[in-house]
Amino acid sequence: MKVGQLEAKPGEHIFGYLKTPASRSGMRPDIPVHLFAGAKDGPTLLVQGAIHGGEVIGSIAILNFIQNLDPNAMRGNVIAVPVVNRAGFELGERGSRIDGKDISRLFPGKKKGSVSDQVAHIYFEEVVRQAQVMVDFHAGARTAYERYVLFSAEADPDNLTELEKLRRKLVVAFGIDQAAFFPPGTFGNNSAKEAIEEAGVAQITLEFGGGTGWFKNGQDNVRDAERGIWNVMKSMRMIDGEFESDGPMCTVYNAGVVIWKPDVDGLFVRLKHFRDELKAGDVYAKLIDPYTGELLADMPTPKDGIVIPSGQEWPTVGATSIGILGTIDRVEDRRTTDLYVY
Amino acid sequence: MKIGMIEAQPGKKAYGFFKTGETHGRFPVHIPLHIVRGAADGPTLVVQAGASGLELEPALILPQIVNQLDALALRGTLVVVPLMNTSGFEFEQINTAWDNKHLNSLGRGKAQGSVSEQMIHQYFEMVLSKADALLEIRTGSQWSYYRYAGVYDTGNVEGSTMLARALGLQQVVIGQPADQSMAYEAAQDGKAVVTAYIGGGPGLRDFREDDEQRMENAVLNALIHLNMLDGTIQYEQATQSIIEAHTFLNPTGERGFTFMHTDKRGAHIRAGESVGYVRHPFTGDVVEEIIAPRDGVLIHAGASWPVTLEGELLAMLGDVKTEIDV
Repeated sequence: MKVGQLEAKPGEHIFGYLKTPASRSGMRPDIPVHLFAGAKDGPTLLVQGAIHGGEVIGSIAILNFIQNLDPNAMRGNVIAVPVVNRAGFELGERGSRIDGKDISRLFPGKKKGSVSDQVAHIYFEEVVRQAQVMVDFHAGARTAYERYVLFSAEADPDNLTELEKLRRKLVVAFGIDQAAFFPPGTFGNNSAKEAIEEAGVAQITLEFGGGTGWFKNGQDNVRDAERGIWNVMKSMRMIDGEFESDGPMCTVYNAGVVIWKPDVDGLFVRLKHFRDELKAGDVYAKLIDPYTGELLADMPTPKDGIVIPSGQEWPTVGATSIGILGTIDRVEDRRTTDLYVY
Repeated sequence: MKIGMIEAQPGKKAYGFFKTGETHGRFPVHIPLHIVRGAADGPTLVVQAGASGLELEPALILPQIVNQLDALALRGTLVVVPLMNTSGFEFEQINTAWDNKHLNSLGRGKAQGSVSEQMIHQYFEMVLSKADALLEIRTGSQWSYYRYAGVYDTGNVEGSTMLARALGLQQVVIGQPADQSMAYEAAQDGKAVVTAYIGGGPGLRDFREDDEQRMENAVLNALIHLNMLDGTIQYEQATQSIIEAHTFLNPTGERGFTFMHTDKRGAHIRAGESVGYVRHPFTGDVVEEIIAPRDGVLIHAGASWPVTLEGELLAMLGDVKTEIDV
């Protein structure tokens, strides 16, 4: 298999950098790529981390995964990219400060555009298009903590496309106990996800871990993230073996209730926990004056819902969502679900 | 007691901003502070936090402590600064936004200096120089997680150590090296000075409420210890370790993903033993083992998040001098 100038022959693992354009100072955010060409034919899996540069739990899981992956013992190919957004990684930031853009939102990219536009174009053409399945690791960076599989909302759940059917299986096969989709309009359109889907790539996004839970739970999340990659390989029949998971059930949330930061600002204090069931009007979090402790604003949920494992915990928040609630769309039982996509 | 325009009468509380200047854009350079003046005479304790704009947990609890205190039950004066670096907080950065200074690297400040230097100068003159004791609460910001009370090896070491012990934390670290902080300057002046390191982002999810309780205990315990308040000191554990710090490890070799063995905190480490390691961020290879250069107890301090800042403390080792049954 070949990615840019990098080439791996059957049974080989090679590592190199996918070349990218230079910024004004001459800095090239070349993308580190591992290619594993299986000894036998099969599908291609792409696992990527840190397309948001500060979200690194998946990156560490990918590093563990590649150290345990034997190309001679698998079918198909694996492209593993521990850090897509090197400029953001360097500075611990979501986007790329080279041009202020979020690469994850730029696919399919532009051949002629800013550095990030071109990076997105090169990556999309050389890497993403080769994959049948894409496991995209995100996390709570240093300021939040998350643990669920995110996938795109389905246009007609009663009439799924082949890609959507396949993706449903991947969501459950990954092995953690919670998954979610955002109904259309929750966060606006994401044309990058549409471009990936149009390319025939089944994408699941892992919102997995984060800095505020790192001291106690960081290594557990890394372990479970790596476990999920192996599960996806099993699901794709690239390796043999039993699926491992948090447990038999996977709860899928229709996560359409977003709590946004109010107009006032101060110190953010989250009051509710994952899986708490809230009624409309229940207070999810509060903002207090940083100097007097005076209550500045309560942040109630606008609708009933269950707190999905996502959200801000650090005491300062930007103009962003600070909590997501959902209703249970379905509960999948791994014991009775066909987890194989091929 | 009067600080700038903020004045508290006996048995009363006061709150306001101690203004020290303005920026070129005419934003105020100021420090929010509370004064709780007891009905009876007694010492002055300053509790300050947030010299870094990313050390925020103390601000979640210090104002509540002030609100709950009965000034009439207090002897002496308590000054509380919950979040000193207002511009760093505003713009989510460690240093001040106005002149990019770290407020704990300016010593006593300068009367004729940058706006931050002038601010610290006036604060030192008006507040710290008049205090008998200083408790500074620091955290691990977004990268580190801490739990110990630190004492500088200067000035009134015995008084500072007694105050540090009274905060109630399990580890008391003596022999903190000299630095450019306000606290070090105050210690040099002979005041009882303790820097309590409690909390930090990597433990925020699991330990926020516990750490807030530790901070509250530290403040109330300090007041009780200084005979400013009646009550009984609350200790975190039945035993307390007095540790002389001797080894401070910072990033000096390879960079990448740094994993510190935080599960070893509190344990005795042998010279040559690994206390962490660095992995190449793109290949995963271990490119450096971080080795303890000498024997010691691993203090509950240092980096936890795997992408460390330059200059960040990775780990601290010391020798246990005394194990006290409290």
